[in-house]
Amino acid sequence: MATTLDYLDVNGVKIPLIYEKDNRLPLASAQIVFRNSGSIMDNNQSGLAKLSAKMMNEGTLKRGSTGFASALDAKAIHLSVSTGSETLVMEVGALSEHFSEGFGFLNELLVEPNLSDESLKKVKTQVLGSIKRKENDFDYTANVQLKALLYEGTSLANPSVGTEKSISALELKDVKTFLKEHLVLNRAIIVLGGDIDLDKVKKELTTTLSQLPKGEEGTLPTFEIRSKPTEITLKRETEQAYLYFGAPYNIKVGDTEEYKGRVATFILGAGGFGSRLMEEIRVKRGLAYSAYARPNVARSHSFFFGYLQTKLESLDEARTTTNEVMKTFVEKGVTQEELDHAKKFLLGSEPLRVETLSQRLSRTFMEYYKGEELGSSKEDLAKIESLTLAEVNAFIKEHKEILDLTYSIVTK
Amino acid sequence: MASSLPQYETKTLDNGLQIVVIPMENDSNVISTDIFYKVGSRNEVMGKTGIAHMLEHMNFKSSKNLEAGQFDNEVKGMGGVSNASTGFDFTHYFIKSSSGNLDKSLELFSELMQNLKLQDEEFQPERNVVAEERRWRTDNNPLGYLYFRMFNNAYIYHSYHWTPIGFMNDIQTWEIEDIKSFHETYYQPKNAILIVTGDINATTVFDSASKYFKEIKNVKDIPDVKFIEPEQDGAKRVIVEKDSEVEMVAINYHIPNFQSEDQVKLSAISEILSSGKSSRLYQKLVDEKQLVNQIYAYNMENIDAGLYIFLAVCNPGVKAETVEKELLEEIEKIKTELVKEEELAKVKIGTKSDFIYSLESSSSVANLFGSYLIRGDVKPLMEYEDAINKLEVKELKEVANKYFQTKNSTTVILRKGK
Repeated sequence: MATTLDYLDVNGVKIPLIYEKDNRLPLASAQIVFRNSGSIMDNNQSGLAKLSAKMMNEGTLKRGSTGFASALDAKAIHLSVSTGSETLVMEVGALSEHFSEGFGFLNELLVEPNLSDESLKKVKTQVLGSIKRKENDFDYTANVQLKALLYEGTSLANPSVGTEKSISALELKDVKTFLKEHLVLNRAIIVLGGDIDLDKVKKELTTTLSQLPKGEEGTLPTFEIRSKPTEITLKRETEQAYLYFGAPYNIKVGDTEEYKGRVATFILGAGGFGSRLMEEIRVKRGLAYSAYARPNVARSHSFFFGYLQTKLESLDEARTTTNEVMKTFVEKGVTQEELDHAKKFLLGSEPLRVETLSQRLSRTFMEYYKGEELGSSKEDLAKIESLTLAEVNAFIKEHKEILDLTYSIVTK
Repeated sequence: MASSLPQYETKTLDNGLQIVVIPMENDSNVISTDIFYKVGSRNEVMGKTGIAHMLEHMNFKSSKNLEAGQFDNEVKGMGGVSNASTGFDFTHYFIKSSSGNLDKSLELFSELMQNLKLQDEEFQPERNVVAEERRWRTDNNPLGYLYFRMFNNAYIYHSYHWTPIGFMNDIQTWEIEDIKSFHETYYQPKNAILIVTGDINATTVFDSASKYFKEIKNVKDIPDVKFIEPEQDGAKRVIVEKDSEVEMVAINYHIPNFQSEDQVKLSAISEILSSGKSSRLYQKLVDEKQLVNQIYAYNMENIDAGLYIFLAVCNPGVKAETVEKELLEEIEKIKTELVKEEELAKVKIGTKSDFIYSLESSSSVANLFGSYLIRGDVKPLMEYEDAINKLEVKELKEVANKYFQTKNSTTVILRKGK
């Protein structure tokens, strides 16, 4: 069963449509992904994208939040709006017998969303409550501070949920403006799958999406990470120390070497048990329950990132150990045995990454979104298979930038 | 109405190991190979709490034919992923892989069942890892801490008095002999169920499982858990002081075990009260009164009598007592008024939909079936959809009156100390 790329013409706009028919279960789903619309578009209004998505989850003016939710639940239809860092996503999922009705609801929502002052007040209260609660979540605190240091002065430096100050300052007109600019045909990509009649669904989608203006495609900003490492230590009433670290990673989306990084960082710290970091930190020294380090390569920015939690008195040992593991890795590279092992995992686990329909749709979407050929994930596997020790070690040596670690620490 | 669930095939080896196969016929080339042991924190005693979970960690250390860490190495080498978890009633290990690796997964699990070395030098650092896990999830996490204290207070005698992580002092004082004895007792074939789900046929699994497990012997009797929590004889109220920016409140009521016919009714109440934005508690406390930012109500389904749990995280500046009052009003409402037919209809279609979604992956099918089989009875699962469809509104009112009684309640409030 293959996922294919097609297009849907809505009011003269050619919208990409990623599709897979799968009638093994009586389920269907549709996502409308809006590009250049996630939290990185917050600019100086931290939390705006997420708050706007939350407002779209408040039902319609006519039915209200509860009325809309009750009508959906009566048919077990899931309709939600969410944001990532670069995208805003509307999703409808249902048993196939009720899927068409799902579009009816989406239609209503697009025509008359519940963008009222009352609704905004309520959503803001919820968001402010969850921000306050996160003050006791030191993983969150350390992570937010890390991003603030790595991407100082940009949208990425701000937490995507916003801060008490930024959320309090947001007004209804900000939400309306954000949605008007971003929920537009020129930014849309459709991802559709399940037990459906494609022609029928295309008609329904066309009707629904016709509600939206053509708008502007917009451009995705890109962000550079700080080049000179730094650190911050926050004191909290905590019983553990939280060590978060990040560094530049000079690999961009579409880089022909990205697959080498996947192999290298699997060995270093992305692979969980058996990775160098986990072995040193957890298995040999018993310092932490988990320790990870992995690259994050998005269209707008790339960085290397890791974390662990340890008891207060072990913070220095954990930090020194992390530094040593990273340094040895970059200086000496990996062994043939480690490379062979990583290859076996990355190649052998392929079926696990495409087991479900949503996994397959998501993979094809990411290939398309990153501007790669459909099927490029499979091609990467072929490249990984023929990767030599000399090649991967040359790659590791070229990427000394991951040693420029910025630290964000929460301790007592 | 026909069940949405797939059929399973089962066979029991002479040593008592039950093998269950759920073929999904989906050409995914993916299987989940799971072993469930009927042991959890329920089987522990005070002074040695958390030991079932500690043993789960030790399963990935050295054995006769595997060095420490080699289990994971072998799993990754075949492109598989694995993990484990320990609950009140059972311990669950799984390896997810392509279908062709069934033999290797079974070989690994059979090695763990019979050949673990359990050496002190591997145990000592791992004890520290578990202590870090407790700090991270429980001591340093207000919601995790509330959850722990809830069980400490709701149960005064039964081993559900603690959650599977155990008390910190026990984590720091177990000895390797405790772990060895626990393993010898509970990791016997007669105390385990092997479940394989996904793109595979039953005969293949039965043949292979027999090859790897049939020679493993049982060595001793497994003690029965005799704890029965005495009937609660009055409402309990506890204030827990913990650094937290927001207050939290939990109200618990004792309910029967997972096999009770009342469980389906309690599940329906849970759905009506707290599933999604159309649910009563969300509507009232989040939407209308804006008092909380997280709320749930659910019925535990355990081998022994469990709890019905209401739990709310307040918004900043909101007193736990204010939320408690609202919760009690909602509880009173479900006891005195019939729910609407459309609320019950929502539960029925929601259940059907949830079951179908759970059939998407081999892992969710294994989790669903495994959790019933290992508790000793799959009947409540197989009859669940039918029972939900037959429910009538008056039954929900009856069951609410039966269990949501003040003298049967434990209320725990968590807030910053003065």
